[in-house]
Amino acid sequence: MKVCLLGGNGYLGPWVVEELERSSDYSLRITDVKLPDRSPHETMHVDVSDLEQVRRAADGCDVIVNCSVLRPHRQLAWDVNTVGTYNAMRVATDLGHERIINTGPHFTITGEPYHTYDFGIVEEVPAHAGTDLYALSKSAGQEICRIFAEQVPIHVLCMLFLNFRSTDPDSPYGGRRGLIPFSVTFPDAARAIRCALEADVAKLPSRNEVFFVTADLPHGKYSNAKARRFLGWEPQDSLEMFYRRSLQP
Amino acid sequence: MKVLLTGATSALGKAVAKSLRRRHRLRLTDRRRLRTDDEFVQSQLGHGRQTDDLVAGMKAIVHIPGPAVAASADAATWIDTCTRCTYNLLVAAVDAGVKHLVYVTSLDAFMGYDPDFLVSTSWRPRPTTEPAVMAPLLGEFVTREFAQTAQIRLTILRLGHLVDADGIGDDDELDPMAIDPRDAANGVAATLVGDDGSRTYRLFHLQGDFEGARFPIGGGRQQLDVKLQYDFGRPRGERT
Repeated sequence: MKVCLLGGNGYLGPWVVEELERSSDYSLRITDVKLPDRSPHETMHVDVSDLEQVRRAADGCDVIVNCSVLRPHRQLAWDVNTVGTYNAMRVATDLGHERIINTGPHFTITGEPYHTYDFGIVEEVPAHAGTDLYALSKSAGQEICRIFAEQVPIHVLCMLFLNFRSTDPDSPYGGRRGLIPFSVTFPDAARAIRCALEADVAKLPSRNEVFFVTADLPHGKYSNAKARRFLGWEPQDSLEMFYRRSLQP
Repeated sequence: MKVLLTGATSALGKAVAKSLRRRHRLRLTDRRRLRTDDEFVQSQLGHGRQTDDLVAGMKAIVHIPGPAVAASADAATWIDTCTRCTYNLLVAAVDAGVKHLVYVTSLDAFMGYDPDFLVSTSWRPRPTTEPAVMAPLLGEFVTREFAQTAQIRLTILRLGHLVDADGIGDDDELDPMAIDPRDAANGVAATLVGDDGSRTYRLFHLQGDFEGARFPIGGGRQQLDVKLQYDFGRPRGERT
């Protein structure tokens, strides 16, 4: 399976590359506005806000994994997070892809209106991103995915993250700062993407499905039960060290 | 009341300006220039200070989103003008203390329903992926987040297709979603007159009222208190 990875050199992309390299089933085309210095894979400079560049990026590929993201810039956030997602959807449907993997922060669906007030938050809620630029521009992108999935025969698997942590205390993502109750390690996050690529889409409840990608956490705020059930994903890294008194240094 | 009207060069914008200026002091804006006796500021609705200045002193904004030239706009332009620019306008409006935004959009997102269904505001939009249909709905999506977080009062008005009643004869084929631009404009004006400030969010559907009309508008029209004057020479529709 040839995978077109949009935003392949960002936070998550390199971990996805590392995960997919474990299998000979995948060949990769890594695309981004800034490419890795070295890569054994095909690379391509791609600005996702340009439809023709996305079309070239996905040409000959079987699936698109959209890891592209831009947070703070008032123009580029919409260009990348909203128009870029439209471009990925447009191209994937034009190419007749069976599925597309979209990614984003948790508040793509469950923004401040949920995150601030609620517990037991699940994926099956109407999207409310709040008015944060990053959240709302990603949410508009996912709304585009939902509309496409309603209209054309393509499965959207939307993988949502919030906080990336490392069990290595010397990592920038390690340390002993407080744990956000929607956290996962990069390797587990990448494994979730692979599970989304390999899941039997015929068994999904609909053509547009959202998954929370978080470690097993006892807070009762978010749950990974849906990703476990439908994708067969099981986080392998425990984050107990961040919330158990007995494991504190 | 001081009202900012975006999309002022569009056919709807011109009709709305004519209707609003009877009661309000207007500031018009658009991406393109417009010759008018009203105050006019050309703007791309960017995120800079120009949009802050544009909304300063306004009590309400009537926002007609979309590209300058809709017929030739590509998908990116549709999406950009309906999402990013609407966001910019709202951020500036909230910062400036504007109380009310009226977002004017289309009933096209409901055309996927069985024509036999009496589709009203309580039905979920089902847009196609056509940018001209999908993008205005994405703009709604953006505006609702501001209303739901109580940053501004929001009225969404979804309109049928503008058809000049003066150009339609009794035997001419009539678009079942037709509404005369003057009626549409009076509907927009009614969203401001009928707003007592008590509700954060209101949603109306409005199209022509004639036999064979595609969507029922009874509830919306009554709440809006707008009298539709142009029936295209057809019998009036059922009061649904």
